[in-house]
Amino acid sequence: MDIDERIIIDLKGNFNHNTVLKVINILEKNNNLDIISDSEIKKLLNISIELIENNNKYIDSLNSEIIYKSEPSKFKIVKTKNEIIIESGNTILAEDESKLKEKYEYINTLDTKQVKKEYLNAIIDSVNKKDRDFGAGILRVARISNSKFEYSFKQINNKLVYFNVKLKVCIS
Amino acid sequence: MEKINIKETEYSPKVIFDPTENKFELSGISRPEDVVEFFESVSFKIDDYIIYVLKNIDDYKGMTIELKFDLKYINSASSKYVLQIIDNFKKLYFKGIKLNILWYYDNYDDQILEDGEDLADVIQLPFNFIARKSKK
Repeated sequence: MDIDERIIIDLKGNFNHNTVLKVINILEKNNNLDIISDSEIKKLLNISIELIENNNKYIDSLNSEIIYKSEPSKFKIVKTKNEIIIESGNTILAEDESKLKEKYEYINTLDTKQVKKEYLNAIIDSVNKKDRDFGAGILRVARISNSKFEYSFKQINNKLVYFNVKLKVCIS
Repeated sequence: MEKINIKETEYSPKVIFDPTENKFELSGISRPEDVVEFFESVSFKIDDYIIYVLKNIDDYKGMTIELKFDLKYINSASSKYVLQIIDNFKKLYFKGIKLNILWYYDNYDDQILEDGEDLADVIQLPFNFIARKSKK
């Protein structure tokens, strides 16, 4: 690790709804140390909430046998001199890899205005429908971070793949 | 018409709705574990109120309904329901009832301000954005 790098959060394991509380507490403690500004903390919190909830929802949708064979989820925030790097990883079904890759590739082609438009359209389209997950979470992350996603897929076995996503948020 | 008085938790917002005072408030952190279950119970009661007012619209013309939003964090799943709630109240706006939409934010919190501005853009109603001075 670079001398200018500082690990703010490094979590591994089975995430649940309380994981976000843990992240909120850690980030707010860091806020007291004046490492990151209030405004940047809010950005990180909003991004963290969406990434961890996404991670959580996906894992919860898998059956218990698959969860047992999966690798632990991870969530990491590192501060460098000029940016904050947020990384999130979790096991996914191999059959979901191409759909996910397509989604992230597509979002990466969008500029700021287009991301906003897609995000708002996703919310508008979901009104009066009972979907618990209407795909706006990742768009919200793209919107807040104003960053392109770096992602990778690593084969675990013939049914499972480990998905890792990283983004970099510029700080003042 | 039923009142709503839901206390804030670490995951879900405070919700207050008083049909007799014509006031609605959503405040705190909005990321309930089951967002559908949480907001459906709120939406049903608001729907009942709106149906009642529309049926008795002559008694309510010229009235103002206050919608207060004072959120610390809101996830994307909750944003949908906030939009849905305001969209429902908009039916009354078209019938001559004024909506006073108050969107509070801490002055360093670009995120919540942006969330409010996005909703105002989509819903096409005027929002009053009220900044609070931060400690730092």
